[in-house]
Amino acid sequence: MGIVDGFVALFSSWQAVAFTIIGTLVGLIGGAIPGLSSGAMISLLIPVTFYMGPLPALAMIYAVGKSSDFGGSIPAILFNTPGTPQASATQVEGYPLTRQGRQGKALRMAVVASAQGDFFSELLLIFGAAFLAVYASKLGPPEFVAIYCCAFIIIGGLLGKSVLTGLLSVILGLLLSLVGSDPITAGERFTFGSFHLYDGFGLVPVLLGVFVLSEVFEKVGNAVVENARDAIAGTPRCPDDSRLTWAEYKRVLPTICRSQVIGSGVGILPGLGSVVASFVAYSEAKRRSKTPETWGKGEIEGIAAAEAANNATSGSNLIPLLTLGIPGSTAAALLSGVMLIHGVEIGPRVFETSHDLIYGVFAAGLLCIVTYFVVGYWGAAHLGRLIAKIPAQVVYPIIFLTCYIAVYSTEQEIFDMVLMTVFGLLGFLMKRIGMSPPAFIIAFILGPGLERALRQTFLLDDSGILYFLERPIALFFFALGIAALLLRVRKERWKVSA
Amino acid sequence: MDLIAGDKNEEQSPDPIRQCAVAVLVLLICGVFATQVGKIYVEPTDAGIGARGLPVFVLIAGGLLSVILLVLNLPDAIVMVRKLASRLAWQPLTRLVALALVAFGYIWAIRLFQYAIPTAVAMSAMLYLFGGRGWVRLAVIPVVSVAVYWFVFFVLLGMFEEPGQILQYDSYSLALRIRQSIGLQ
Repeated sequence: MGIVDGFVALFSSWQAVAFTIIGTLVGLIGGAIPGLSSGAMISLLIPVTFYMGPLPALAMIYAVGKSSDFGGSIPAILFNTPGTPQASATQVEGYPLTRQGRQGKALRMAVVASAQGDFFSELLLIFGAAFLAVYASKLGPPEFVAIYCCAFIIIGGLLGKSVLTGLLSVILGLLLSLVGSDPITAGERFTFGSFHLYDGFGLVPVLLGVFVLSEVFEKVGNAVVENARDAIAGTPRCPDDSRLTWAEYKRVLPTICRSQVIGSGVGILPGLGSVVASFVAYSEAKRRSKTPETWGKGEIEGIAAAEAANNATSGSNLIPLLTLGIPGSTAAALLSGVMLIHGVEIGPRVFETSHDLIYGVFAAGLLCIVTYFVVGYWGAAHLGRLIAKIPAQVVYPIIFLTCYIAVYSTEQEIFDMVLMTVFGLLGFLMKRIGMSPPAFIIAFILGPGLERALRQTFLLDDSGILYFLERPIALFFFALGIAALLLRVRKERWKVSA
Repeated sequence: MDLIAGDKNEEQSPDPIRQCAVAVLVLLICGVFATQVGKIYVEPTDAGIGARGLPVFVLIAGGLLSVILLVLNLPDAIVMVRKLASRLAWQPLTRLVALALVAFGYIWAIRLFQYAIPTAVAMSAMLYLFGGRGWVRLAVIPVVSVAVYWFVFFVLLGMFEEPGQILQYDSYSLALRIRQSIGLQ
C-alpha cells in the first residue's frame, strides 16, 4: 500500500516530521492574521525550501496550505474579520456566536468540521489520484495541449472579475513564462539583451512579488492600517457554551458529510477553489435547514458546512496536479513550483518516478490534520488572543523586508530583488484593476509545459492543427473549455441584465 | 472613488475604468514584447511551430482580447472618468509611491552600504509609512529585526553578504565563528 510506504518515508526523516509540524503551525498563525493569504505565506517559505530535501520541503508547503484554511476561521469567529477569503462564510455564523459568549463552541465546531472535511478529501486524494494517474499516463502531447487550454480557459474565465480580464491574466502569465532561452534551440527570447533574463523570470521573485509584496503595497495604499480586534465577546453563561456537545455534533454530522463531498467535488475542478466551496456548502445547508430563520444569528451548522467544504478542497485540488499536471488552486500551483525547484516531475508519472515522496507528502497531510486538530481544538482561542496583540503596523514592514532577504537567499542576486519589486507593483496593479493574480501565476507556471506539449504535437504529425480532430479526448477537453467559457459569458450577461 | 483602495462594491461589479485599465496594461506589455519577436531565432530545419509560434499566438490573442475589452468599455469609462474626476483620492497613491521609492532605494543602498544599515533604515521608513511612531517602533524594532535576519540567513543558512561599494565590513568571519561555535561548521 502506497500510504504505508509514505508513512515509512515520512517517519524515517525527522526533518520531514518536524517541518510538517512547523508548516502546520505557521499556516495556522498566518491564516489567522487577516490580510495574509495562504499564497503569500507559502511564497515566503519557498526560498527556505532551497535549503531542504524534497520531502521536508513539500511536506511543509502542503501543511501550510492545509492548516491556513482552518486558521482563517479563528479571526472570522473571534474578531469578525476573516483571516482568509474562504473564511467569510464562517464569519456570518461565527461572530454572532462570539457575541453570545459561545466563541469556544464556534471554534471547536470549526476545527472538528475542518479536520473531518480535510480527512475525507485526503482519502480521496490518496486512493483516487493514483487510480486516475494510470489512465492519465496513457495520454499523449495533443491531449495535454487540450487539457492545458481547457484549464487556462476555465481558470481565466472563473478567476477574473470578468471573462475577458481573467483570460487576459492568463495570457499575461503565459507571455511572461516565454521569456528566456528557447527550450529546443536555446536561442534568446524576450530577454531584451539582459543576461539576467537568459533563464527567464525566476519563479521565486515572481511569486513573492505577485503574492506577498503586492499585499504590502495594497496595505500601504489602504489608508487605515489597524488591528481589526474590535470584537465584543460575550461571557459564557454555562460550561456548554465553551464546548461542542456530542448531541450537537450528531445533529450537524449529515451537513458535514454533504459539505465535504461538495468541497471535494469543487476542489477537483481547476480554478473554483475553497471560497466557492464554502459558500456553495453554506447555501446548500441553509436551504436544507428546518430552521432557516436561525441562520445568520449564530448557527453552528453554518460553521460546520462552510468549514468542512472549505478544507475538503485542500486534498482534492491536488488530484488534477498529480494526474494531469494542472494545479487546481493557488496552493497547488505553488506546490508544483516547489516540485519543479526540487526536480520532481509533475504529472501522472509522478507515482512511478517519485512514489515514496508523493505518498510521504500524503502522509504529511494526514499528520498535519491531526496536528491542527489538536492545536485548534484546545488552543485556537489562545492563539486568537495572542495574534490580537501583534500590531499590524509592525507585521507588514517585517513581511516586506523578509521578502527581500528571502529572494536574495535563493540565487544571491540583487537583480532578483529588483524583479520582485517590479512584480510586486504589477501584482498590486493587477488586483486593483480586477485581473487575477492566481490565474496569472498558474499560467506562468504551466506555460513551459504547454509549449513543450504543443511543439511535440506539431512534430508528431504534419497535418498541423487538423491532427487534433483525430484525437477524441483532446476534442472533448477543447469542447469542455469552450462550454465552460460560454456558460460564464451567459451568466455574466444574465447578471448585467438583472 | 479611491484610486488605490478601490470601491467597496468592486467585488461584484468590474467597472469600465478598470476594464479599460486592464486592456491598456496588456496592450502595453504585448506592444513591448512584440518589438522583440523578430529577434527570436528560428531553426531553419524545425518541422514544428518553432520558437516563434507560441509567442506570436499569445501576443495576437492578448492584443485582440485587449482591443475587444477596450472597445466594449471605453465609452462608459469616459463618462465615468468625467463624473468622478473631482472625487479621485490621491493620498493613498502618495503613500504607494513612497513605498515603491523605499523599495528601490533599499535595493540601491544595499549595493553601496551592504546589508545591515540599509535594512535597518528601510525598516524604520516602512514602519513610519505604516503609522509607527516613537523610538521603540522606529529604532529598536529595526535593529532587532536586522539582527534576527542576519542570524537566520547569514549564520544559520550560511549566505554570503555582498560587499558594499562604499561601505565594506567583514561580517562573514563573524558569521563563520558563530557557525563553528554552535556546531554548524
